[in-house]
Amino acid sequence: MRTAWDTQIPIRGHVLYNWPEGACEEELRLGDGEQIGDEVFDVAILGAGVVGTAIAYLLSQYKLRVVLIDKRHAVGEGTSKGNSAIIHTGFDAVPGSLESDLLNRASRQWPEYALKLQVPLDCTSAILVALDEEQEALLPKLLKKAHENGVEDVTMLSASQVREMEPNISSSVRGGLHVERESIVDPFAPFIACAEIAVVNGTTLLLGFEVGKIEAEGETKIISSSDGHRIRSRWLINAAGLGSMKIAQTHGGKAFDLNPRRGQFFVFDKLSRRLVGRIVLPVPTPQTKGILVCPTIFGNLLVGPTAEDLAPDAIESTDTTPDGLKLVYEGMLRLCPALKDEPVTTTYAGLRCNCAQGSYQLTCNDGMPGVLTITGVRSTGLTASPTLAELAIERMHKECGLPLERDLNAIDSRPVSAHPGWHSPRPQEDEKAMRAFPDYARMICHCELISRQEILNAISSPLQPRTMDALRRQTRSATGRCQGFNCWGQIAALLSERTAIPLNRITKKGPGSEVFIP
Amino acid sequence: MNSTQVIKADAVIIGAGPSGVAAAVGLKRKGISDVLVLDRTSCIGGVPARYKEDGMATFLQLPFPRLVSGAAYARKLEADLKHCGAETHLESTVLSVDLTAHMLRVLSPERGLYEVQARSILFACGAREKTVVEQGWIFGRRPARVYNSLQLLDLMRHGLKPLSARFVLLGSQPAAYAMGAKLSRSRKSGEECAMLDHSPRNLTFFLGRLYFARWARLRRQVIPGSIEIKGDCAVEAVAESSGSNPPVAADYVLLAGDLVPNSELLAAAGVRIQHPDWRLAESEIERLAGEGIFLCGNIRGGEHGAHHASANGASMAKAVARYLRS
Repeated sequence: MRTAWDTQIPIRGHVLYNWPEGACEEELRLGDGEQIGDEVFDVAILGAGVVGTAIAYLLSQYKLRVVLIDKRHAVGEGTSKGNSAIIHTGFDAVPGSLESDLLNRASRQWPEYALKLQVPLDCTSAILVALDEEQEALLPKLLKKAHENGVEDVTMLSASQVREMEPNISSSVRGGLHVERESIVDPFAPFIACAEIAVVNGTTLLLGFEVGKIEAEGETKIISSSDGHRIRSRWLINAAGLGSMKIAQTHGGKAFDLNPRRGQFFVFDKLSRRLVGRIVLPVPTPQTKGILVCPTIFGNLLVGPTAEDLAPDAIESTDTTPDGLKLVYEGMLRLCPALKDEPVTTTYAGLRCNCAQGSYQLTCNDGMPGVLTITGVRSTGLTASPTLAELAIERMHKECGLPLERDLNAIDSRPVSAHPGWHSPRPQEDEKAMRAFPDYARMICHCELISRQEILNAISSPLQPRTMDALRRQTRSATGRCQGFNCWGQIAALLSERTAIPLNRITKKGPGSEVFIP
Repeated sequence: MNSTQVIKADAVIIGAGPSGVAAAVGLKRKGISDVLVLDRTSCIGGVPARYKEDGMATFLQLPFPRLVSGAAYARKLEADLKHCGAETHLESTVLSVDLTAHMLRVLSPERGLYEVQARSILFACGAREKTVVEQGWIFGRRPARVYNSLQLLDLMRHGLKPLSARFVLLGSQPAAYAMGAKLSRSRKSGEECAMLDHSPRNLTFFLGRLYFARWARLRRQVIPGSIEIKGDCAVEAVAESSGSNPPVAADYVLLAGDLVPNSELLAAAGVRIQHPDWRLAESEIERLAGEGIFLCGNIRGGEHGAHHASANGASMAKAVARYLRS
């Protein structure tokens, strides 16, 4: 069978699920043995979100035995899955901050980075619009701040220029800023691509492994899971997002305080895409960045977010609320009243990692030699991930003595065939591919036009996704207008058929979320 | 396989469900020779064909009123379509429609990418159920086991039975009663099922409720405000946002029956669609009919059963035949 990785490149790493018998194929299942791996890993990365996978992507290109660990059952299943899919220039960051530097350099790397990862990216540009006199007065300050952040390609716009560029923006517009390099990206493909390349290069991806405690044994760190498995690694990187605080506490790392900050969004139908051409931002207030309107790479419009600070333990609270969505809707009406009666495809809530001690905290030899803790990676984390990963590795090398010798057999890019199935050119336009694989013409998801073959390709891709949500993020199936009304049951049945997992053991997102009560 | 293949027809019908099949039969009966029926699934019968997993009679078959199961209804539609002699392409997805040129771009595993040019086009694409968000009164999380009726039916078709689980049905359309009956029948225990409804008026007539009461004991409760779905992994409960009543514990939440027309092909072709209900204005439907573009069955909007869609398909066939003769 053809897979998305239909190349001569052998897959050197593997994927292991800490999952009870029957919930995934036996060869992917972590055995009952206490010890994982017969020898000591060089680097263990905790957290397979945008940061952890970006680090694994880079580390896998060195001669190191890397294990990428996540407590959930798919990559990016934590805060990363709810990102707003914007590649920021960092024009409104705090000048001189680490975040400003990371964003500035990362935003310039992204076009090439996206090409390497085969991640769809569209440089739509952004306009920040002032809707009253008070906001208008802030524009010069924002322009100056952008220049201080090294973002030179920001220009002032008059009210008529804004109207010409975005005719559906509120008629009370008084002026704006044009930020040229702000871009939109596939929100899921970056962490999937990084993890895929890492696994191809030999990284072990260990899913469903919840870290219980970390102890030192000489130079080796012993990472124990809450259910009694053990991993040994010489170096350790904690990139566990909202889970990083609990992990740092187990090995006596520097104390910090995290809490989830929730953002609720509307996703408008593709029919509404015509109304807005670029990312449209309100003028930020000291309290909030406000509600923005933004096209998505899939052709929808995204509107949001709220910024609600939740209690530190509310790390699963991705609820949408009537009040939160009302707030988003009102913000949207101020900015873009034309969206008033447009059809909504869905709503969702994402979490951000808010750190009381400040954003982007990196601590080397944190409580133990050879341990790096990364925390406070907030909403700009997706953009910053490539430069943050570089910085993490540089500091591990300099301050923790991590040896870096290039692995000449490693790859740093994905083949074109790994490009998400929905993206142009579609396999359906390739007569040869369709003749060889008629399943490309057998549509399963009719809203997004995802074929049976594209689902099969994803199932057998390097990350071996085995949950419905992971398949959805990788293929975009069941994300369209009908939200899986027509196709969801069929995709579950197909996953079951292909993997010989009984249908009632198929899960939405890991144990406890079985599609049917077993 | 040739991507430039063009098939010509007098009438092309998109959808082989109750209305599409009735339209095809009607057109053939009126002596229209080239009738082509396209369906994106691999079987004839539309929604009734998905209600296959048991023999429960939930469809009204006309003209001699009779209650039949989805499987029996689908078999009847298949026989009718074969008997009338209309050409049928299954697993054929219409990618786009050009309403001016009367041209359809179609994709199928058998024929690859091809085009259909027809003197008249009948949209018999049916409807889908509203999503959680489109319902407008449902908030909270997206745990597992929150389903629309087709999702659950597709799973049940593979032999899964929700034995002793607690269900919460949202909405009170006939489809919700039918699903309640199906679920109750496959369960061990005969306990009550909760039915939460936003509408103060029960949307199923007394006779319908009486019929399904043979299998299901539903406890209907009207919720004036919004509800929130609770649960980290799978659904655990449905709670009122106002907190005025205790949350209802649930292993499954089922949304059934609140329909939205499948009008997206028309929308993509530039036809004005009303929102939020995805319907075409009557004046728009009339204007299109003048150009040989017709809509039949549930794509016209409303909450109707298969018998209604079928009757509408038959009557639209007459209109199409008149158009083709003029």
